[in-house]
Amino acid sequence: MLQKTAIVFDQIYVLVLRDFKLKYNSTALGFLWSFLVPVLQSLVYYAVFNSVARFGIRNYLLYMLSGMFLWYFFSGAVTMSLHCFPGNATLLKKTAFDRSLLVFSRLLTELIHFLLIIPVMFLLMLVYKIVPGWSVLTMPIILLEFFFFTAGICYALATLNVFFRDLERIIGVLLQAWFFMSPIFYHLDNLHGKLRVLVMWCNPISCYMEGWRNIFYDPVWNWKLLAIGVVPALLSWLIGYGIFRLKCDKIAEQM
Amino acid sequence: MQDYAIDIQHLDKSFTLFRHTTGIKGMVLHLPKYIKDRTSPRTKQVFKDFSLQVPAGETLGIAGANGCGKTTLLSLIGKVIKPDRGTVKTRGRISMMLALGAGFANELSGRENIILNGVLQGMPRRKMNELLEEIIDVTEISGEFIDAPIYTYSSGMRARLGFGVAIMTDPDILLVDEVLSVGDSAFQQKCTEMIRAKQKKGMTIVLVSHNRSQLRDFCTSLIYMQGGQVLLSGSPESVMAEINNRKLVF
Repeated sequence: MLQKTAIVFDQIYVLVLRDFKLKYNSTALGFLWSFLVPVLQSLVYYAVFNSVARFGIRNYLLYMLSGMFLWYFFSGAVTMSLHCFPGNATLLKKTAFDRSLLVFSRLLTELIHFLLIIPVMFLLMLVYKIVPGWSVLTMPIILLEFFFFTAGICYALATLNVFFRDLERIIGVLLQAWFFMSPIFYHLDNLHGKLRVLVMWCNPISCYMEGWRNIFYDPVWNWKLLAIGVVPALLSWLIGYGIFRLKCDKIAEQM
Repeated sequence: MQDYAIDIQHLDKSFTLFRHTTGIKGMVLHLPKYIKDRTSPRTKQVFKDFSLQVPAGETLGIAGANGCGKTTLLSLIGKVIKPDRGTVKTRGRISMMLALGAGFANELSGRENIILNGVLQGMPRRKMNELLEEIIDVTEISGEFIDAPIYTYSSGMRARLGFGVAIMTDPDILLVDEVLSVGDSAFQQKCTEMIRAKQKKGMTIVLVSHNRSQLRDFCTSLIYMQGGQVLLSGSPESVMAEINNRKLVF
């Protein structure tokens, strides 16, 4: 039993190592990209929304970056999950390891990238002269919730994409819609009426993003957000992983 | 109760065949056919109530025409695909050695692939690191290539890499699909010797091959498959003789 667990750890390790190598295969800047892309993206939105349509958010760049990094973890993981199985067809057909590790290792790769960016967030706080509060302690909880929320969606999409390759085509558009439905470059207070209700209560990412900003942007302690966040995380994980379990025996045959 | 390394009981396995009507267009233009396709998907039954036992330490050869289920059987033993009904019980660690390079990642180097492949087949990483140099020795892949991504490899080199990992990690059960014919004669000679050594140590081997002399040389018993069933089984000599007698496709 103990030996089996150790081997699973080893398998995750080699898969994560491989994902890292493949991700930066023949790029000059390597890991820097996972930092640069969200920053550059934020600068674009900053330029647009600071000149064309102002939202009147103080420390706007910090506000946007704190949301953008979180979003990039999510969208990166979702995009990668689609290729988990088709991209490993030869491995799946010829080796009998636990298939869930392929998705898990991708998720872990994305998470590690995300964690490496956290020190940058603290640096930015320093630049903006924001004093971290006790809410820093909520970070592991929010990360855990957000991770399971993302993982559930990734497991579902990775599995479904094996059987309906149509998903690959539509997911980019859906992600874009989701991006605009999330308080990344605007504030929930900018929204009114039904739209506000929709973004606040129908998009779980808003909840995690608010929690995240309560650490880096506007340090306040908010138990309610943490408690609410558990629900979508659990639901997503149970449904997503359930779909995977239901179909995992058939994945290799479809390759 | 005899000591079986592989015990297959009442195995059923069928595959969903390619659908003729797909997508919205197919649905609109051929609605009756489309509905029939979806409600009763055409399947091909590869195995029906198939049973097979391989005693530990034996080398079983599998012969048969293309499409008779040889590779599917290996995949089922290797747990890569699951049976619809029935059981496949195996004892110990299984290693698969399949034609055209067992699951490798093209962009990684030979060295990295050895570790990846071994660990995914259930070897501890520490052990793989220890074995690494030995495996490279066995594969005879030179220094400039072993650190190059394996998309630069020839098919012979891939086969050698697969062989090296499979044989050096000392599995309890080794599944071989039509690989020993790859590689030059010198390497084939080496494979033969190494497999013989493992046979002596009691490794259970299942060997799929179209090569008569190979089957005769290695196997302790031989089966001939046709349409997902064992048509003939017995000692290699007797099965070979019967195949010749009946002029069966080999």
